[in-house]
Amino acid sequence: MLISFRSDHKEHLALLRNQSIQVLVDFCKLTIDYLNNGPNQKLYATAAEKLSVGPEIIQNSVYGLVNLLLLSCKHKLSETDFRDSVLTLGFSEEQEVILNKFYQSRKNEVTQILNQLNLKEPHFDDLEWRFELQVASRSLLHQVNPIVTMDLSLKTQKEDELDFEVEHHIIQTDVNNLAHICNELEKALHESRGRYCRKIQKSLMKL
Amino acid sequence: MYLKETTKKSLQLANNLNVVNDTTYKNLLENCFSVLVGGDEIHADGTLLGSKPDLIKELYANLLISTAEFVRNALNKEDVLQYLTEECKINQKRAEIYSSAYSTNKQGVEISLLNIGNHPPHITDVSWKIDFVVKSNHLDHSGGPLFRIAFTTEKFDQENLCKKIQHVNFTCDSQEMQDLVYKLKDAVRHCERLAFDN
Repeated sequence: MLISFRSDHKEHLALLRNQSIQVLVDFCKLTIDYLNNGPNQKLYATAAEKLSVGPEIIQNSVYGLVNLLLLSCKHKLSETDFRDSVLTLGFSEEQEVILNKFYQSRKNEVTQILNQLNLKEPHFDDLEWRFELQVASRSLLHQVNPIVTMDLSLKTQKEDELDFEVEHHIIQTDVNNLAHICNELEKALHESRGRYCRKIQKSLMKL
Repeated sequence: MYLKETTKKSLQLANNLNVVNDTTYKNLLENCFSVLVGGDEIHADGTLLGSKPDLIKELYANLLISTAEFVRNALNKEDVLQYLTEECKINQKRAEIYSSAYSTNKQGVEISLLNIGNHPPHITDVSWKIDFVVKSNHLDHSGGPLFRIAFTTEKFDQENLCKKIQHVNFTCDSQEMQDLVYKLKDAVRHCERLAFDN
């Protein structure tokens, strides 16, 4: 699969096509630094001086590389697909080897992060429980009613994608229902490992 | 066990055959237990009131009060019979009709009394489905499984004075799901052990 690039993206990468292998390696390092620590204007200014271009051009080149990495991960390009895509951008064979190495080294990490960027919905975080015995209430003086009270914490990723917002649900249930719920969820877990689900998953992988 | 003097006095209306005949008495009791168990009145008001609607209403209201109070204090059939005949001076026949109706409906009334109160939402059921992600705007390839779980909870709604059903929805990936099931199983195991030990 060949990925198509936007024209401004191509422009941003244009500078890199004419650079030596060593400079390209340095740019890859700049990009890794960007991924880990965010933009660093100081580094871009030094690089701009060395290559005698404006710092914003350096910055755009770094952004271009980041975008290339993101697109490749999004489409899950294989090594040869990546190679073909990069070669059509006008990079040389040697440059492609460097970029491919860069892609392979960061692929898993970036894919994992992209996966987390998914819909921000409440996820299970923790469950605390205690066993109680209700022995009397205003409306019924003598009773023995076993209750399991639970604190279900759900976490939702915040907008900034770094932190989680945790909400607590205080809920209770009786012993019978608890056993039923546990049983039912165990069935779900079992089902997800069953032959049918694995078959579906495998055929989706092939798509 | 304590009933107000006015309640006891009103219950004595049951002795008066001119006010309540056998059918009316029986129907009143059926209505009374049906309402306390959480259902509707079986017999319509109009058919019961007869020539003395104020007295019938008075008796009905006090039957409701005393029944709730009997169940609240966990009286059994014999206790109720004794209380009605000795404390309330109700004749043996009518008291027996009441106490046999009481013993059949006691458990139902107990359950509805048990549910009155301000307790956290009570989980009654769970539904689940398994999703696989085929594609998203960030990633082209599949992921999963994702478990979508909904706990059905019941709570007594103080505003509308009725049962309210709510859902707690959340998602688990495989690992979170394992964690959840493990913790629930732990709770179930402890409950079972408590039952065995005693």
